[in-house]
Amino acid sequence: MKCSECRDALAAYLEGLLDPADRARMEAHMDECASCRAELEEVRELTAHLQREGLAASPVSLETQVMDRILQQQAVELRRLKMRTRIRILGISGAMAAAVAMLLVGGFWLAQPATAEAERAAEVLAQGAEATPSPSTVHILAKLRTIGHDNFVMIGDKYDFVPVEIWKQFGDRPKWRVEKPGRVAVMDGKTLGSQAHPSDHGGGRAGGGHRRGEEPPARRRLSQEQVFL
Amino acid sequence: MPPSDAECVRSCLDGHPEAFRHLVARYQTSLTRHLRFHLGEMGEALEVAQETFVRAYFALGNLRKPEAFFSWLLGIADRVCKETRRAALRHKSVSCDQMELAETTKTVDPGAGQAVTEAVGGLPDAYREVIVLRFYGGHSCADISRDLGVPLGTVTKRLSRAYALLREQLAGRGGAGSEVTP
Repeated sequence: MKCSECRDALAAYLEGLLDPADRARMEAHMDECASCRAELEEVRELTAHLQREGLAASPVSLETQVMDRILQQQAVELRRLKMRTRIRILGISGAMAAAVAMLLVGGFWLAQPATAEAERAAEVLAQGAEATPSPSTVHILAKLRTIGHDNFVMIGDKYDFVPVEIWKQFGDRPKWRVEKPGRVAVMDGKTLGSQAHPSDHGGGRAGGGHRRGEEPPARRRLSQEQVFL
Repeated sequence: MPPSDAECVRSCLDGHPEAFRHLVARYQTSLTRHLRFHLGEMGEALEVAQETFVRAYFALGNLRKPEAFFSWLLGIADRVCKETRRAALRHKSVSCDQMELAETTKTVDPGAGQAVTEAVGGLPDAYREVIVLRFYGGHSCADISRDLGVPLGTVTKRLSRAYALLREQLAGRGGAGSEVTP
């Protein structure tokens, strides 16, 4: 037996895993080779030390904690996935999808740092979409961190919240309309148009209340929507 | 017969998270004891081990060789260890009294134990995993062979080479015998 073979077989020898013939060959080699004999003794000391280290620690049971954390995180991920699916079901796409996604992030999640509440808000929206299998229109009221008169570009947590309304009209020619103080955007899947809010002459806020004799804001906006859609 | 690592990993990826329980049960002791010798404190080792398993579960899709799960897990544990140490350094704004207390409770494993632990930590993955499983996890060579999906002869050969590397590293620190001998 060569020294290199002997070194490779040291662990098997110490573990008692060599067959009798190989064991005899190895012992015969070590009788003749002082270097391998010394190496065997050093390895024996090393393994004894490693064994003592290993035994020094107490038994461990992490299964429950680990599996609980995994299941909790999975539930959160699942709700997020469902939310994204529902948004797709609603038929939001393109630039408007980005606006709605920002709205959800800016409106619900940034508005409510408590994750559970934000998740709940997203879940309610998802349930609403699920409960209405063939809607003709969808109307969402929310808040968005942005500034008025901007063309739905300046969105983020450095801005204050402003009220936002979104309508989706389903059917052969689906259309979207997003409205915020001072700005309205309309999209039909091919084109995206935006302009100053029709009731925002001179920079006033649309929908901040209605005078006696006027139509309620919602109906007024819906009639505007017919014009724009 | 318990499922192999690769079977557990595939099962998790097929949407059965409970299969991960087998992997946690199989490696929790080895990993935590290994971490305990790295970090010096059992409480911290348990936290890091838990975080390591959770991160591993959510990163299973990136695991290229499911049969090398434990080796991959040790890599994640190393990263979590480094993050934990960096975070500890950032939070050094404790009072002198608190600092002294922390130091006295942390120096659990000085001297020879620390030298061997560091040497184990410096081994290449394939050698480190067999050492950790054999000595910190108390697995037999036959168990390691089954868990890692490699022949028994490969396990013993890796152990032999790991011993040689450990001896070299410890000798480089000023004499293996004096470091290893209790």
